Amino acid sequence: MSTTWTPAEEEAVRSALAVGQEAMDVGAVPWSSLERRRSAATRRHRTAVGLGVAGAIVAGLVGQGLLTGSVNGFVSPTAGSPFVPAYDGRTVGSLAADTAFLDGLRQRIADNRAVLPAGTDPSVVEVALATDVAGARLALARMPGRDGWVWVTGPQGAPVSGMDLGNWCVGDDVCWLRYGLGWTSYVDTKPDGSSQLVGARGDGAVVATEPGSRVVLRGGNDVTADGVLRPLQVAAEERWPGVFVGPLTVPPVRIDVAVTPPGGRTVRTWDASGSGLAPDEWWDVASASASRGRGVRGFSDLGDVRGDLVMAAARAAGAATGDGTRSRVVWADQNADGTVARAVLAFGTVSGGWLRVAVERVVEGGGFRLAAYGPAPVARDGLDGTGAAWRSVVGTAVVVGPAQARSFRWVDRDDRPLGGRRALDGDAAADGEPVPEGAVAVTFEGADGAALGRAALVGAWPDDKVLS
Amino acid sequence: MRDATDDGFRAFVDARWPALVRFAWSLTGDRGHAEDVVQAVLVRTWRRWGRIRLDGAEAYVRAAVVNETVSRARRRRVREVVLPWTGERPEPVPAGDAAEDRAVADSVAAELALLPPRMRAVVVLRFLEDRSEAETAALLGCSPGTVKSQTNRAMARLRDRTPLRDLVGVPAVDAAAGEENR
Repeated sequence: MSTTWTPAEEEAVRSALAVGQEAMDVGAVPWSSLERRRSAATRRHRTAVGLGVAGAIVAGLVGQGLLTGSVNGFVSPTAGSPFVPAYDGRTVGSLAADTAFLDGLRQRIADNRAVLPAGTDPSVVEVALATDVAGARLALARMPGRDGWVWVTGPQGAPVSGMDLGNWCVGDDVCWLRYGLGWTSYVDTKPDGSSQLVGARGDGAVVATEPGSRVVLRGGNDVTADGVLRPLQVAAEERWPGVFVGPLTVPPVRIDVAVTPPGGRTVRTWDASGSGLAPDEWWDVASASASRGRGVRGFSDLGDVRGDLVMAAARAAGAATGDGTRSRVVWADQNADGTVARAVLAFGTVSGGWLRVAVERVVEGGGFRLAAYGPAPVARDGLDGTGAAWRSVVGTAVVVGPAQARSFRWVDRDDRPLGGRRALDGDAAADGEPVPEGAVAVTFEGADGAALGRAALVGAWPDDKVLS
Repeated sequence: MRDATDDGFRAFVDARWPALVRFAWSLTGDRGHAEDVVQAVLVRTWRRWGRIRLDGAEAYVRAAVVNETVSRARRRRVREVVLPWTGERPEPVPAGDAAEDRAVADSVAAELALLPPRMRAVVVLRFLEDRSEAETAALLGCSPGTVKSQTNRAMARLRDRTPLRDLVGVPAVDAAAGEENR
């Protein structure tokens, strides 16, 4: 099948969107609502200033002799803050002396009609950083009339023609970029639809801020070999004044960035939108052998369902996912009509421990709901020898025991059994179990009745929490 | 107290509100969500209005709407509930070819509403807004490669699940093929 959109398909999609737009009867501007929200925003801003931000900003302003706004045609947030890259008119980075590359880069940006009008003199484009790092070629540029700075990226060693505009640094957020194959996906699509990654492999983050700042990257969660959860911190080196680079050996789903400017308060930001995770490949590796995965049943919509499950689990765990060689699809199942898919996935972490997540995808109301359950640090294999049990969004429970388990019991908070022994299937799992009143956990038993572990009954992982 | 800057902002919003809400709706697939996103962006824009060039104001706000939409999707990172198609339907379906076109459009629109927010944004920017891969990448804060792969995935889904496949002669997915994996 061709992977190129045909004109007829493009027109059908355009038409579908346009018809919906035109059918909307948009009312008058809700000025009262806008004014109310503006007042609330102003109050929040004043509160923040009152908490001490003002001192730092005012000191910066006095020192800089300016407030904000247009300087030489550039519009930028407050200078001298951790949110603004350092720039004294000179380019820094390993390519700082490569005038041919820099000139070409300015020309490429000046020729980009998305950001500059035709006929723009390329010399107006300013380049604060141009460098190769392991896995990427990075530049940071700004141009008149555009708010803030923009990252320009390409594969490591890329020619100017391989450099493209990326994230913008605008407003009160740390100017940083996650780079590397996992995030930026330098992909060449061939005429036959196949694709291949371009460039050397590497992954990391670069932060552009005030020189002399302290920058700490947190690359997701880590679990020690004895099951203790801790953040995976990555040292970011100040390669050039104000430019910090932190390589990541195992790309995590989530990266947290903390910047402490000299004498200032720490500002933090994070992003969980990318990873080195290729869900299908991860799944294939993580469920490759019988000793690793069990009960991996039919998935008729492999690409979407598996991808949704893996990404939801990885995000909930905040784990560095790697390529699946140190992870496991412990158990997975999909019902006959494909509307409910569930899995227990375990991500091996850098320090040898595991992060286990149960995850579920339920088709409902023309869409679907993804939920992750009880991300838990565990010491041994995917289930830690104890199993997992969670109350599904559809109200019943899913129970997955150690491989040798043949039955389980519900227990209350004092570990008193509630009801009789319940059978597990050949994969040591039970789906759709009603949950007795007062049940807080399950205990597993083998064929001979021997106790095999206990697992707490967990609920859905809240949207607004991360494991930390 | 209102000043000239305030008046300029109000004039801009009065003129562009419908277009901005429609644009946000195409990104979100939900009218209430669309209006909320546009309001949030406009409130932030209001505070910065004096620093925004008037001839670039709409582009600035549209870029902010895209970012706000995708950012909200990121913040819902664990559980994502996609609502069914909620766009208002136009008048009754006419007969003949137009009816078939409308049926295709409805089917495609319904499937578009189910795309993940980022993927939907790519489709909207590329095919409704007619932006290049590089422009789309710049707006979404990703690489052109990501835009390309997201576009291809969206296409595969739309071909799989809508009559688009009939437009390009692509056979429907054989249900039995899926069963082989069971």
